[in-house]
Amino acid sequence: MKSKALSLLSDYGLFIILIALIALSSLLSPLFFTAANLKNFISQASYNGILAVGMTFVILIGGIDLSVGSIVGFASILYGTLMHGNFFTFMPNEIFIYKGAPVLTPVLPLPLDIIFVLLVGALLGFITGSISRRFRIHSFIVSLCMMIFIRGLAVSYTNGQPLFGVPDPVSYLAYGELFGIPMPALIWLSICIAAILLLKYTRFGRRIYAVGGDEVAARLSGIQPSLYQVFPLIVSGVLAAVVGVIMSGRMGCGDPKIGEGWQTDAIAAVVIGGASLSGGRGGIGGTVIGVLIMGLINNVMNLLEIDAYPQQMAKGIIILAALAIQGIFASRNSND
Amino acid sequence: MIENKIILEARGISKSFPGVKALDNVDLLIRAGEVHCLAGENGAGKSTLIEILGGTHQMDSGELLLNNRKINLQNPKNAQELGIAVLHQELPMLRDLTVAENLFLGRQPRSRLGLVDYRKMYKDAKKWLDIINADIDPRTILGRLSVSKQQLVSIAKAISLQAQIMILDEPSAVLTAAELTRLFEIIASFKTDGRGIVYISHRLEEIFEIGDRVTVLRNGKLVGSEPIKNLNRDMLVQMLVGHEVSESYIENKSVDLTRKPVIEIYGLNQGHLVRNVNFMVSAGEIFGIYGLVGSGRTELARAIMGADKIDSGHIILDEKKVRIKSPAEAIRNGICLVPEDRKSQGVLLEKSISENISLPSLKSLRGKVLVNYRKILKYSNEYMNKLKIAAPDSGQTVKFLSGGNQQKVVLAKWIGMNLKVFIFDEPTRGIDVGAKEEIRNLIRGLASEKKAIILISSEIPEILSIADRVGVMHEGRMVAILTRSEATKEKLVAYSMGSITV
Repeated sequence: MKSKALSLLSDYGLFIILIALIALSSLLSPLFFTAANLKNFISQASYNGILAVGMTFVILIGGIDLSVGSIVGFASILYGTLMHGNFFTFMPNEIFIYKGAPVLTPVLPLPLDIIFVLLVGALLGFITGSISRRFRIHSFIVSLCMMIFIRGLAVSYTNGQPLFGVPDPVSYLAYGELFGIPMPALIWLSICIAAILLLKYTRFGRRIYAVGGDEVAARLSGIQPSLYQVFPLIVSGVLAAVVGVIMSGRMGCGDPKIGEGWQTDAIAAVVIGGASLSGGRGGIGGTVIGVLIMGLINNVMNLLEIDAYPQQMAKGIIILAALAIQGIFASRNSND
Repeated sequence: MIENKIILEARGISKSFPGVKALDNVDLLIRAGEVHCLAGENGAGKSTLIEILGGTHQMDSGELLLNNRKINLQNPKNAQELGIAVLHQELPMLRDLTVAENLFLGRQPRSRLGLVDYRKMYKDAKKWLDIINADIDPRTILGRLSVSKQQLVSIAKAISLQAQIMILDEPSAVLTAAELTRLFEIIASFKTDGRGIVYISHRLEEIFEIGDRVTVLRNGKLVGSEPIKNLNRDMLVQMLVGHEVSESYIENKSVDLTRKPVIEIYGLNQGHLVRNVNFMVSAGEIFGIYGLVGSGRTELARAIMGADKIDSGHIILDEKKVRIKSPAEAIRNGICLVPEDRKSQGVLLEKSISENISLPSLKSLRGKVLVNYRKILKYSNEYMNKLKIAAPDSGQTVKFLSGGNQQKVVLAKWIGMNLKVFIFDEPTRGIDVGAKEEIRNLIRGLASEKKAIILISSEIPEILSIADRVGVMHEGRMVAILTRSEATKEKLVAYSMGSITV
């Protein structure tokens, strides 16, 4: 009986932490349970949420993708240049001087330029994944190099300047609502549903778990690992590009400097969500809760008007505490 | 009796690994409706052969014919598609996934929409588990099951592949008698279906019980392939052991058995691989332990060292009862282990010789507070010379030494510490012949300095040439303790396969 209660606690421990944090938040701030705040909370969490879905794929195969923050910035500025009638060309300096409302001269018709940016995101992920696989370098290292390289590329692309002006449909992606739910949250939700379908209900997805859990066991079961080791990084790259486009809409500009350090929040959310860094264990459900916990911490501290740097200190401690509580449940459970 | 149809024919298979010829021109014929047993001592090449048939390794030369058509196996996937299923001995399974998922890894049943049909998957998994009478919930996470239940899952998996050829690598090692009976029934039903079965076992009774034909390998070479009905137990043991004269017996040192024992082990139990083990070793004696892989030799050593918690029994050291709860305590009590896996457990490969040698003795090698590097250098040079470690200087990284020299580094670590009991687990495995003899001489040297030596080895000539007495292990029990004059190759093999009981 006792072990049953414990295993229940370990299976739902994460959920209990989330509920406890929500209860605590509403106690700490009367503003928490207002429609405006909840909308704000969920749409802010969505950006990390989308990145964390990609990160879940990568962590499932025992990898890490540090390049997502840089891809967000690169996707944002690439989208900006596409809007200003340029395609892979470095811009002359004078264009950056803000002269009232910009005139947009998109290179491609509207949906196509977004798709182009997403394809570039996929390509960057593919490069990371195949280098890691081909030369047997852990994706932590490859994506670290990619992170530095892509950020440098993004910033030199426009000499570090943002490019103002995005078309209305893209602003809508960031600010629009459907049935009272903010668009970023809806995009996050639909990505989650697609990811769950893929990971849980297709053979392809189950093979990702198998290869991540034990490459030898997977091979002996007739699975060829390469594809499943590269694909997760492509997903992660595409989703980072998605975030880059929505962020452009949110800020009304393409900005090569956004997304700096965002990979750490995504990794933290996935790990809080119960994924194992050695691969094979984890899932979208846990990641979503991890993202909500991370978002909640930010939101409440903003409501309490805590300064940014003490916020960081508190965040570090809270993430560690959440992981420690999980670690205790996990080790109890394996001792049964 | 009409000979059955040949399903798979392996011709002239050879395979080398760096430094070893694992298979040398071996043939194998697998017929429909026949249980073909594969036998041989440890390292005879059985595992390599089935790894080639399963597509895990590629052969250097030779050919494979499936139903008279030449096939080329590049990876395990090819083999599975051609209907060859292998039940591996070391359970490569995914501990974080459910039992059902492990059964259907990479081939989960799908609904019409192409999505994984979990309900059908659990139902099918239950069906296969029921066939082998395994009471396991297919929804359980595999890692939460015991080892023997995990083994049942892997058997269910092999069966569920419904392959034309099934290769079972020692499936019986962790099964209970009832589970084994059921497995034999299933194998019998496969025979009537006309499938080909390759069965590998270290137990002679099993070979006689279910085998139709046995192929014996020795040192990577084919010894022979005979119908079981033409053989008896002695003939099979003869085939396994061979007639070649073993290495010359060296100096018949007489050991005074009335001498006081240094270490005594009474009623030691640990897990299912160390069961009620009793023995003692006196000063200057080399006590050999022989047994097949999985007979519990390594587990016994680990239990003595306190690396695994013992269930019951006690250890007496110099007439005092000791409780050893960790390897650190064992070393403090004067017992050390030179482990089987030298590279991962014996030395720090990336570090220098002197760092390795001085590691356990750092306490005595420091100055008042800090480590004294001059002392360390002197100390490690002394032992480097004493053991004749071949390297330019003691700063050499251990990774670049030969196997024999790496083993000497492990020895040097302990010799300098004035210990009483040395346990060697396969000290000469994977090192060349000349170095082997040097290591054996070092062990003899330790014995002449009145140390008590426990030597675990699967090389019979090695045991016979240096051990004063030999304990033989079979399924966790020490089934016999023989003196040097009693021990023969045939007896060791027979005891280790459980064919003689005491």
